[in-house]
Amino acid sequence: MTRRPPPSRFGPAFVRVAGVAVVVVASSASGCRGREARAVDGTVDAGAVDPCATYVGPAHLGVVDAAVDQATAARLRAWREARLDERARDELSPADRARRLVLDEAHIAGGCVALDDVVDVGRALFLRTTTTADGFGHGGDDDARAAQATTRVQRGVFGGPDARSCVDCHWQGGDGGGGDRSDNSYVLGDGVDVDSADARNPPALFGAGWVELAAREISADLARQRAALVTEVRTTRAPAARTLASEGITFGTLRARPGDDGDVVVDDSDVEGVDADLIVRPFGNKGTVADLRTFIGRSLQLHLGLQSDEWVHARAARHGDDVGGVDDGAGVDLTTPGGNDDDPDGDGVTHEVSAGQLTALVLFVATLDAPEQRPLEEAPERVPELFSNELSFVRSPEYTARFARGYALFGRTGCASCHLPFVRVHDPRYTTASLSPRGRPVVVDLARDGAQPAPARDDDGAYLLPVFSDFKRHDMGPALAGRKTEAGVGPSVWLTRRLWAMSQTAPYTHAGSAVTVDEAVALHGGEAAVAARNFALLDESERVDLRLFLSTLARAPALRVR
Amino acid sequence: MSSTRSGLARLRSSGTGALVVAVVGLGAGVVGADDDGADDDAPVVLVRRTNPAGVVGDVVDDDGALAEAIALFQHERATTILQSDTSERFEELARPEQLLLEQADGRWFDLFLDGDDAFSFSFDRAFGAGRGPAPDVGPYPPRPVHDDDGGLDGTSCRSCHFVGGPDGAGTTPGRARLRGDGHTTTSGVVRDAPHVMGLGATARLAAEMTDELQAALAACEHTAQTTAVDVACPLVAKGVSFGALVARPGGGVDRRGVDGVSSDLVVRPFGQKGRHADLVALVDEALQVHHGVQTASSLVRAGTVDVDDPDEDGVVAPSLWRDGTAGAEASAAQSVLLAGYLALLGTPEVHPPAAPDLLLRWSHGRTLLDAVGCTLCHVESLPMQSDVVTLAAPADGVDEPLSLSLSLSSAQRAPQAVRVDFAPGSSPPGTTPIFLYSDLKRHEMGAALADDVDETLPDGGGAVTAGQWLTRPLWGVADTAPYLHDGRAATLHDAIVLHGGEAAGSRDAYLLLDDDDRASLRLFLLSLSRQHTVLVE
Repeated sequence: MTRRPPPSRFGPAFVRVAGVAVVVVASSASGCRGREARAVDGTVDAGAVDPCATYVGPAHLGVVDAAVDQATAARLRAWREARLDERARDELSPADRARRLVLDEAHIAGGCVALDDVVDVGRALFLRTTTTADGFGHGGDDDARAAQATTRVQRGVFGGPDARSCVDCHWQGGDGGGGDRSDNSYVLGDGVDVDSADARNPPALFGAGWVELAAREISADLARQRAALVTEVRTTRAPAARTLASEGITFGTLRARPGDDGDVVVDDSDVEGVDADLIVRPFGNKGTVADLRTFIGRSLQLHLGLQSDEWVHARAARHGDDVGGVDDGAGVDLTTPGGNDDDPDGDGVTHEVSAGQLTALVLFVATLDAPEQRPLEEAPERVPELFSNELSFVRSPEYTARFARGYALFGRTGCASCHLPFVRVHDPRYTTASLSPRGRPVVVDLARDGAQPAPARDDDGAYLLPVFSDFKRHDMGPALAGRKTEAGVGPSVWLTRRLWAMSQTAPYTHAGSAVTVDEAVALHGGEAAVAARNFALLDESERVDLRLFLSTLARAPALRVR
Repeated sequence: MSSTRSGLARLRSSGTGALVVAVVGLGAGVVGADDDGADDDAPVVLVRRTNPAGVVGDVVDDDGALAEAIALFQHERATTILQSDTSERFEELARPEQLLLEQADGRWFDLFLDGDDAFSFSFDRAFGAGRGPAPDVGPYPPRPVHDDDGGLDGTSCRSCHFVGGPDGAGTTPGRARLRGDGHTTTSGVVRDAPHVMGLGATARLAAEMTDELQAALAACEHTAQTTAVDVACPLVAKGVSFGALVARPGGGVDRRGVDGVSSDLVVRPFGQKGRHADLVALVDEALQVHHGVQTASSLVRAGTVDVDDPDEDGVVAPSLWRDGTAGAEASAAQSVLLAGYLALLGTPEVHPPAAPDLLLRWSHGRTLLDAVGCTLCHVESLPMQSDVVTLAAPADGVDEPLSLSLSLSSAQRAPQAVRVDFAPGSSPPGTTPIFLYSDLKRHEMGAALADDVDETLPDGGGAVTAGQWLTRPLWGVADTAPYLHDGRAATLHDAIVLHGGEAAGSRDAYLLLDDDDRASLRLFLLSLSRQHTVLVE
């Protein structure tokens, strides 16, 4: 009989830590408050307007590393205690909350804030339950304002709202994680019938900043290759073709021929897995968005009915008129009665998310730690006795051998041809630029200042992202096909899902229907049919090894407080 | 460099205190763009503080425990992927003989740990998740709108019970749509998942109230027979009035005056409408409607023990588990394990604010809760006489019925003390006050909150009318947004204002308060929280 002796503490997967923390609220909370503008020599510059004079920073949690130690535990618990009083004060004066969560572009551009300040605001916004006072939902629509306020099934490109906060759906494995099947969005539907819509399982956002960096580098690489091809054709005046490849990923063939009047005509008909503009878009199940800023702005509208200033600005720039309504960015305009240029959804709230707040959200997500490939740790001394099953061979030669065999099988079956194990990032500096006239681009070195651990580096100093994706779209066959074409991407075509953090991101596939690895693989068809068949032909011992290998794809364990 | 805009330079020169410098200055907290005024588009480089929080905490535990937690976490995570046979994995958690041994030895902690695993256990198709004709390949697709037999919601219990911490509440998108037509979201009834803490104490309180009501009924019948006249008897349990009944000498009982409880006088504290009295039955139904998993005990209760594969998904459990039923996908032991886990969970706790000004408002808020009349139904505490909870699977006629009795205090899961003793010594001697903020009684809440249809109880307790709801225990409410049975209220204010029917008076009294008093009242509600949990993820 496989029984575990009673451990000394509560819970296998968590420690309920007893006792009450001594709280000393971070004195750095208002780093810039109330100071005069001083020159370096200490004299007061009476004429200068101090952009930081109005900046009041949040209490600190900062960028949270995946550290597991007493200091972190104490810090988290103290932070949580402080949140309770903060929540009470918010209830006394809701305006306080709004003020606390404001992050002005001027304060960022003025250098008043540290990354921690920005990330703290971003986290608070990510966790915030949005209310109608915040701009939640849409006006002029009695249905949306009726008792339920939210809709389970989205209405076309208009969206929901179908949630109250980001963390409603991004919670598994920590804030910013993936969602369960029950958190699915039902997108592009008729607002009522589940069967009119496509299910989308919320993906984990860990390492999203790194993903954007990788995509940008690949896109830049492809752009250089196109430019080289165009230059070549312009010079030789003869048709030419070249295979597009970056990071060992091939994106088909780009052809070019001389045009009539000295131009070069580029033929992208044999380009594969990426849009004709050769921009790799790593966000969205169908790979439709290139950067987190756009993605988050869009998600705020789709899921919460919050229009960021930038979103409103972009919409007005597209339309140049005062027609109310929201649109999908592709020219479709859905008029919301009572809406206007400043308040497109007509809910009476303008400036629902400022450019500074959007930056905060972007940086919170971008600085989340990148998952890693981590074989099981050697168990601490008193733990092995708790394990009575096969995993007690951790760090034994057998474990190593089976892990290696699993890795080999991952390649041999063909899984690795799309779920490419590593993609490199050469420059870890993440940039996000607001459209606000007062804003400036913000740069964060993810390797140094993002949550740790940062990805490992190779011999050339490049960062190795164990994403297990080729950043390409593939036709996945009928079993994985949805109902809808999204942004020109067909129903059965999907971006290769990143497998990193796999052990924290079940359920799998875009609809979250697969609970186990075997179920997920069984659904693969189309371009992955051969690999799926190879997997099916493995015997159980081989599959265990393959799963043993996959089980090492995980976010570094960390302490979280609830 | 004349970097007046540089945060670093400013902080160092500000002279506002060593602490700021200590915290920010160390890590060169902020480096602003060079401020020549010339290039406003120059990027701002944001740098993190090396020592972000000037927070000192006490030593909460030894590092060995953390290391142990990490190892266990990683081990579990790996096991989940490694073992494809979910049935086998789940079976290891709950063998009947194992549960009985644990009971005999008082090893409740082991039972709790296994229950914790079971609570976050993901059911796949091979296990029996899903119902009806199976898809050609792969698992069943999610089915967020239920039909009469249920839907396919989350992958595990935890999927919908995590808000505010482990075993917490559900989210707006995660709400269940029960008894609909299977695809349109306007059909069926919407239910927001409540937190599942303190259910052992709740079950115990309800059982004691049921006993009290049954005793009153018996006494009333006895009096009617001995006096040979119609006797009207008030029904009161733990100080809560459930109306009255009239017993007739001939043996008949007129139950029309019974109020807030089914006419069988069984207090059912689980489910938004007061649907279940029994934790095992609650677990069985949840597995059925949310996951499409039939437990042996649910089949026994439904009288379908002889049906092979009642949900027609092609999955039945190995004979080892069937416990005399033909089509079970999970054993009665597994139901009892999950029910035992729920019973063993701690209770929420009252967590007053720390700041003195808030504390003042908080105690004022508590007074207002009374004054407004909230506590007429959200009764602050009920006295619990015994802490023994019995969990029993119904007998299938083949095997011995599985039954566990556990004492909450001897299992070291006694209700956590409130941090503030509201009224020392006010509970009857020998009882423990349970601060759950509910009378465990049904009330008419008005048309606006009503379902479209009455709800038929599964255990022969009749029906609950569309507008009737069980007083939601408010303990832990602070961490359970959104509020109300269908999660329609995003804020406590909205939740209060949406009260109608029998609560209309209290609602109006709340609305007559000025803004400050309303806020104080809500501030008190926000102290109905739970112990913080630090967990490894």
